[in-house]
Amino acid sequence: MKKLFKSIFYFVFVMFFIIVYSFFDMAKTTRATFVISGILQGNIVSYKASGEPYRGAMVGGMPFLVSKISELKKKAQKSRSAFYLLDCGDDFPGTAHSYYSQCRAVVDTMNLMGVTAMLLGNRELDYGFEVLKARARDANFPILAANVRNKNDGAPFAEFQDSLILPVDDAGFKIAVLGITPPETLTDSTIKNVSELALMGETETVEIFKRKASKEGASFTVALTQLDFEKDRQLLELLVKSGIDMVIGLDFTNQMNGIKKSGDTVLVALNGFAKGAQLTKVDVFFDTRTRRPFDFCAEVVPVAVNQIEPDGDCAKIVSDYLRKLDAIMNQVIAVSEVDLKRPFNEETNFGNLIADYMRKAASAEVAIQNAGSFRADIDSGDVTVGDFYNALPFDNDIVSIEVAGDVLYDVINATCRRERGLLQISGASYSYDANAAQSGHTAEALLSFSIGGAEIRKDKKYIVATNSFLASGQGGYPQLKNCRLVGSFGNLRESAMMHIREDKILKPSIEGRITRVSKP
Amino acid sequence: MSLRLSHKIILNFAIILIIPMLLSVYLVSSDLAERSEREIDNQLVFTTKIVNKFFFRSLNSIQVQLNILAGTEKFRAALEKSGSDETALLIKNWDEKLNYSFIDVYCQASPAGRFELYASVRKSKFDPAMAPGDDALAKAARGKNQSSIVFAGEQKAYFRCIIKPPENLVVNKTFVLCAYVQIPNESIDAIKDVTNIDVMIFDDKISVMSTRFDPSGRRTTGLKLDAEVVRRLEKSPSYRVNDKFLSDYTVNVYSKIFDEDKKFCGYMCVIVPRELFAMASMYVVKNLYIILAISLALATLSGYLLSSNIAAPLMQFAKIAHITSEGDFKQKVDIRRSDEIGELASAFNKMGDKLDRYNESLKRKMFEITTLYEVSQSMNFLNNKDQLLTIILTKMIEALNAEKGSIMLYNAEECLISCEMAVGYPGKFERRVKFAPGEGKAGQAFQSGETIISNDIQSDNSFLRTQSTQTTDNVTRNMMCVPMKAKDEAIGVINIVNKKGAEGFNEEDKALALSLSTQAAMTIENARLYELSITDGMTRLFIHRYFQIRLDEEIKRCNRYGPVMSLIMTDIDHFKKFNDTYGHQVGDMVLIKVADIIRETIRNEVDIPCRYGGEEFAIIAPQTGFEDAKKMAERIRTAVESAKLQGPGGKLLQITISLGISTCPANSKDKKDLILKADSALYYSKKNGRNRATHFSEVPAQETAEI
Repeated sequence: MKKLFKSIFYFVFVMFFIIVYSFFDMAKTTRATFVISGILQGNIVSYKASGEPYRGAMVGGMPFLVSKISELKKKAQKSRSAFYLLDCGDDFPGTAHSYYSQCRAVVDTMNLMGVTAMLLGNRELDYGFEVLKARARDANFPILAANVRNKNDGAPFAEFQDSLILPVDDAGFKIAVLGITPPETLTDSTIKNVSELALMGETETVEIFKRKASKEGASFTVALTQLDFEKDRQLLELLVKSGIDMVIGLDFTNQMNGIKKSGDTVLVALNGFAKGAQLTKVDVFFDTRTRRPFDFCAEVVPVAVNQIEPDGDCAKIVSDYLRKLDAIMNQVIAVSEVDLKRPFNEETNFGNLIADYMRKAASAEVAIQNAGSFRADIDSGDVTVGDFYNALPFDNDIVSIEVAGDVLYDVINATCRRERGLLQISGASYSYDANAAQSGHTAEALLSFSIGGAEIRKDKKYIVATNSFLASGQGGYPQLKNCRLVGSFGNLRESAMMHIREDKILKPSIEGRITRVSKP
Repeated sequence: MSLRLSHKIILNFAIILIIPMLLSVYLVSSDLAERSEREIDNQLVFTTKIVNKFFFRSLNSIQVQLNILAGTEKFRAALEKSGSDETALLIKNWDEKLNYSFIDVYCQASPAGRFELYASVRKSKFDPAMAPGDDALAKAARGKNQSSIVFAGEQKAYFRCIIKPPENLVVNKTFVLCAYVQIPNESIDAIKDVTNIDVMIFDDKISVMSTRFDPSGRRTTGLKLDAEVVRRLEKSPSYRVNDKFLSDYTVNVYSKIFDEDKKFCGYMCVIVPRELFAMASMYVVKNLYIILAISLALATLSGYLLSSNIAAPLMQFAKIAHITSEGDFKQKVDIRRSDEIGELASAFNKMGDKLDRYNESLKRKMFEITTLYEVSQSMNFLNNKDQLLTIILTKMIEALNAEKGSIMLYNAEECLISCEMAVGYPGKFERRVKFAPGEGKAGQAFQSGETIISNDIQSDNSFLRTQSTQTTDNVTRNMMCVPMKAKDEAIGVINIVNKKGAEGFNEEDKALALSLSTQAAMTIENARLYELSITDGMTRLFIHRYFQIRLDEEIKRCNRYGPVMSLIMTDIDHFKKFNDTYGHQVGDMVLIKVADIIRETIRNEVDIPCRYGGEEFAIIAPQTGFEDAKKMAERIRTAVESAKLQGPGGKLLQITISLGISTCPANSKDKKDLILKADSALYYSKKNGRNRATHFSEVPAQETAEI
C-alpha cells in the first residue's frame, strides 16, 4: 500500500514537473497559422464535386468558405496564434457569375473572407486588364504581383503590391510575403489582355524582396506562388537557393497532404483544383527568442456543405448575384430541335454549329475549334443563355490567323492523334486512320484534308478562324503560335449566341466533315 | 438590512425617478408595440396587394403579347388559308420574347361541336392535366378571354391564356388559342430587386417559385407549405409568421392567389425583412430607455449631491458626537458653510467648547480633591518627618505639574527658615539653605503669609540665587512660594519650581497649592506635636510610656505571627559619678551623647530606642533573634566606648555602658518577664565588670534565681 502511495506521489510529481515545464516552454513559442485559399475560378456557389476526394458531395461556395475561414480564424485566435489568409489567385474568372458580374460577385464575397494577401494569378486577366484593375480597387485586400510591371515604363502598377510585411507580435517579429505571378501568364493569356504587362525576371524579383525583408527586419519569408513543385523546378530551386523559408504552391496530384522540404525551405501546397472545396492550413511554430521556425504542421481543410453553417451576409450577396444572373441565364435565345452533343474524338452537330459560326464571324476560309472548349451538351427545346454558358464556359475570343497550308496540315495531322480530342472544323473536311492514330505512333494519321472541296495546298496561305487559346499555340498546337494574326472578333460564346439569336431555330447535323477510317 | 443615510437618499431619488420612468417606458412601449403591430399589419396587407398586382401585371403582359401575335394578318391568313402545319410553323417563328412553352390551337368545326386540337407547338413535354376544359374553350370562343395560373407540368408554374383570335375568317369554324408561358422568375425577382421583398409562390403543397436562394445557390423551390398556413388561410385572407432565414429576421405573409374568375390557384408568401418596417416603436422605446438611463444617472447624481450635502455633514456630526460622548470635547465639526448645517456646526462646536471647559474645571477639581485625599492619606500613615515632607513635596510637584520643589520650615531657635526637603534637584540634598523671614521669595512668602508667584524669576531682583540655582542645567524659570500656616501661624514655605510648559503658574495652581499647603501644614504640625508627646525632651528618644506601648505591640505581634524579637536594656556605667564629679549638666550631656549613639547605631525606622528612666535606655529590636541582638548590643557598647565626650576643662570623658538582652519568645512571652529578664542580664553585666553585653541566655541559672 505504502509502495503504491509512493508511486502515485512520484507520478504526480513528475506530471507536475512536465506540466510546469511545458507551460514555460510554451511561453517561449510563437505560433502563426497560415490558411491557404485560391483557385476559386469564380465558384461562388456550392457545386457537386466531380473529382476526388469529394466526388459526388456538395462542396465549396463562398458562404461556406467564408464561414470555414472564420471558424479557423477563431480557433487560431483561441490558441493565441497569429492568423493569415494567403490566397494563391486564379479566383476571379471562371463561371457565369464571374463573367456577367465582371468578377464583382467574387470580389464582393472575397471581401468577407478576410484575405491577408492574394496572388495575382494568370486567370485573373481573362476578362481583360481593365476589369482586373477595377476589381483590384474593389478588393479590401492587397493583390501581390512582385514580378508584374508596366510594359511601357517598367514601373509597378498601383493596383498591385510586390510584397507584404506582416507583424506577428508587438515585439517586432515580422513575416514577409512575396507574391510571384506565374511566369507563363504572358504566354498563356489572350494577347490583348496582357498587352500592357511585362514580367520581371524571377532572380531580380526575389533579390528585391530579400533586400526589403531584411530592411524591414522580417525574420520569416514566404513566397506565394502557383508553382507545381513537380514541374516548375527551376523557379523552385531559385527560391530555395535564395533562402525563402516557406514556398506556397499548387498540388495537381491530389497527393500532398502536409509539408515537403527542399533544403531548408518548407513547401506547402493548395490543391490545384481546389475551386473553393479545399483549403490548406499550416501552423508554424517559432522560437520566440530566435524568431526562427522549429516546427510546421499542415493539413487539408475540406469545405463540405453539409458540415458548415453558411455565412449569412455572404449568402445574401451571393443570392443577389444569383438572382440577377438568373434573369440573364434563363433568357431563351433559340429553340433547338435536336440535342446538341459536345464533341471529343468525333464530329458532332454542336462542334459543327460553333465552327460554322466562327468561320462566319471571322469571314475565314476555314474554322477550327478544339473539342476541349465544349464542356456540356444542350438538350433539344429552349436554349437559354445558361445552357450556352455551361457548354462553352471559356472566355476566348474568335480570332483569324493566316496559316500556311503545311502548318495547317500539321495541325490537323496532330489532332488526328486524338491526344486532346479532334479539332472541330468548318469549311473543310478531313479523314484519319483510327488505327494509326494511337499515341506514340509515328505514322501519318491524317488521310485526307480538303478545304472548300479542294485538297489542301501546302504552299497556300489560308485565313483560319479559331479561338485565341489555340491561336496562342496552346491546346497541343504550338505551330499556330507563330501565325500572323489577321483579326479579332470578340468573345467566342457571345458571338455564337448572337448568331443563334438570329437563327432562332437550331437544327445542326453531322455532315461528314471528319471521317474515321479504320485501315487494316 | 441597515442602509446608511446616504444610500437611502440615493435609493430614494432613484426609486422616485425610476418607477415612473419604468412605468412610462412600459406603457409607451406596449402601446407603441400594439400600434406598430397594427401598422405592420396594414403595411403587410398593402405590400401583399402590391406584390399581387405586380405579379399579375407582369403576367398580363403575356396575354397582351399573345393577343398581338394572334391578331397579326399573317396568322389570320394562315388560319384561313393554310393547314395546321403551316400554322404551327408560323407560331414557331413568332417573336421569341413570348417565351411560351406550349401553344395549342383548338378548332370548333361547328358552333355546337367539340373543340379539336388543330395545331400544336410544344417546346417541352406537355402534361395532359394542363389541357383546358371544354368550358374554358367555349367561354373563350364566346369572346371572353381567360388567363389563369397553372401549377403543373415539367416547369411547375405556367401562365395560361386562352384567347380567341380577333376575327375568324373561316366560316363555320371557331379557332381558340391556348398558350402556356412558364411564369418567369423575373416576375417576382423584379419585386425583390426593387423592394428587397422576397416572394415565394406555392401550389397547393410546395413552393414552385421563389426569389430566395439557399446558401448552395439554388432557388428555394420545392419547400413544403406548412399545414398550419393552409388551415389559417381557410379562415382569414392572410396569415403572418415571424421567421429567420440565414441571418435575417423576416415577417412572412401568406395569402391565396386567385385568378380572374376568383378561382383559387395557389398561395403566395411575401417575405418582408423585419428591418424594412421603420420600427418607430423600437426607436421610441430605445430613446425611452436612453432617457431612463439618463434619469437614473441624474437621480443617482442628485442623490449623491444631496447625500454629500446632508448625509456627509450628518455623518460627521454623528462621528464627532460619538467621540464627544466618549468624553473628548476637543473634537470639532469641520464644516464651514453659511447655511443651516453651518450654523448647526458652529453651535455644536460652541457647545463642545463649553463642555470642554466645564469638564476641564471638573477634572481640575477632581484632581485637586484626589491629590488632597492622596496627600492626606499618605501623611496619615507617616510619622517620619522627612518621609512626610518628601511625600508632601512630591505630590505637590506632581499636582502642579512642575519639575522640582523644596520645603522650608521655620526654626524658632534660629529665627530662620531652613530648607528641610528638596525634590528634583541634582545631587544629595543638604540642609544648608536658610533664609531669614522676608529674605528671598520664600522669605517674603513666609513673612507675608501670602502665596507668591514669579513666572519670570530670572529678572526678579528679589530672587536669591543659591549655589544650586546657579548651575546651568538647573536654571529656575518660574517659581511659586506657598506659605504653610498652622493655626494662623506660618510654619514654613513650600517652593514649587519650574512649571512644565511655557505658561508658568496661574491662579488655579495657586488655589490648589494653597489647599495642599494648608493640609501639609496641619499634617506637619500634627506630626510635630505627636513627636513631642512621645519623645523625651532631652535625649529625643521615646519616652517610657511609648516604650511600654510599643513593647506590648511587638510582643503581641511576635506571639501572633511567630517571629522573634529582642529587648536590649542598657545602663550608663557609673553615671552617678559623672553627676557627682562634673555636675548635672555634664550628666545630661552624657545622656544626650549616649542617646545619639544609640539612635545612630540601631536600624533606622526598625528598632525603637527609648529612655527607660534615669540613665537607663531600652531598645526594642523587632525581628531580631539572640545572635543579632547580641551583635547589635555589642555594636552599641563599642560605639559608646569609643565615643569621645569633651568634659569640663577639656577633659575627655570615658563613657561605657552595660547591656542586657532578652529575646521573645525564647526567654519569655510576657512583657514584664521579658523586661525582667533583660534587666537580669543587665544586672549580670554590671556585676561582671560592666561595659559588656549579656544575653539572658548567657546568665547562669543560679544567677537568675538569685535575681
